[in-house]
Amino acid sequence: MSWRGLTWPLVIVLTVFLARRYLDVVEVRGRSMAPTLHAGDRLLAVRLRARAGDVVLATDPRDPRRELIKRATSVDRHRVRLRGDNAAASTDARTFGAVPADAVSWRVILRYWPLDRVGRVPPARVKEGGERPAPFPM
Amino acid sequence: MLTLRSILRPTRIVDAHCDIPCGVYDPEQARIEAESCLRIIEKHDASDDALFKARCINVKEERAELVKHHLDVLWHDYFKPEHVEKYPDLHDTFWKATKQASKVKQSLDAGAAKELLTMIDTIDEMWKSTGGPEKTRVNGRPS
Repeated sequence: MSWRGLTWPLVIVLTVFLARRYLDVVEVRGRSMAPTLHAGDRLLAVRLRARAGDVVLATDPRDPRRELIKRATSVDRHRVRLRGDNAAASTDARTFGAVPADAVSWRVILRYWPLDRVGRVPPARVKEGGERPAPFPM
Repeated sequence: MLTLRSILRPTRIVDAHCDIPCGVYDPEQARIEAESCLRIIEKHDASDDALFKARCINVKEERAELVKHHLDVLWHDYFKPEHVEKYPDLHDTFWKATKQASKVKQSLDAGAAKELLTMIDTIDEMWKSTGGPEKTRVNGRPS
């Protein structure tokens, strides 16, 4: 058997290996990211550093077994501030402050379920302190 | 086996939570704010004090926003997929009711405010017939 015959199987094995390490699918629970994301939405996430404005997955600083989905509103080398798009129903940086940058290693790029809302999950333009306020006086 | 289905079925659940879902829901909360809107519109219409009218508009807009908030919480948090099976028009009802609340926020139309009350009552029936009073109010709903 020549080496040439092994090219495609190798490519496939390598692709699956990389895909499993750097891509994952997740399901949303809760409504702190409404109206951007709703409970039950299924998303494609990539293992990439967060940039300000991205929707990201982060380890919950209060319970490392739990994973949060929030928007990164400011990012520097050491820390990331997380906020829910639905401020009135979100527990986030306002409660637990910034999280270490290495707790945020996945970026959400795509929603593939439900089918009528398939599409990119776009980053938002954010400026520190300019986060979405509560929709009514609190 | 690595199938498309297994690839697309998420094993990771990510939380977009508020920490404390207290589990107390009642359309009455929205109704009281909507009743305020109606009364304020009536008071606005009966007055000829420009300053009072301006305050009426201000407060009415705030109350109408609260109606939307309370309806949203019911919609997102109380109602579950099995309720949609029972009431296939549930999403449509909420969508129309929250739109109606926007209309009340934007206008001084007492008719629109009354229509909003009717819509909230429809939601109240759904809430009641799905066991809302027993399941969500402490010691059941006081009548």
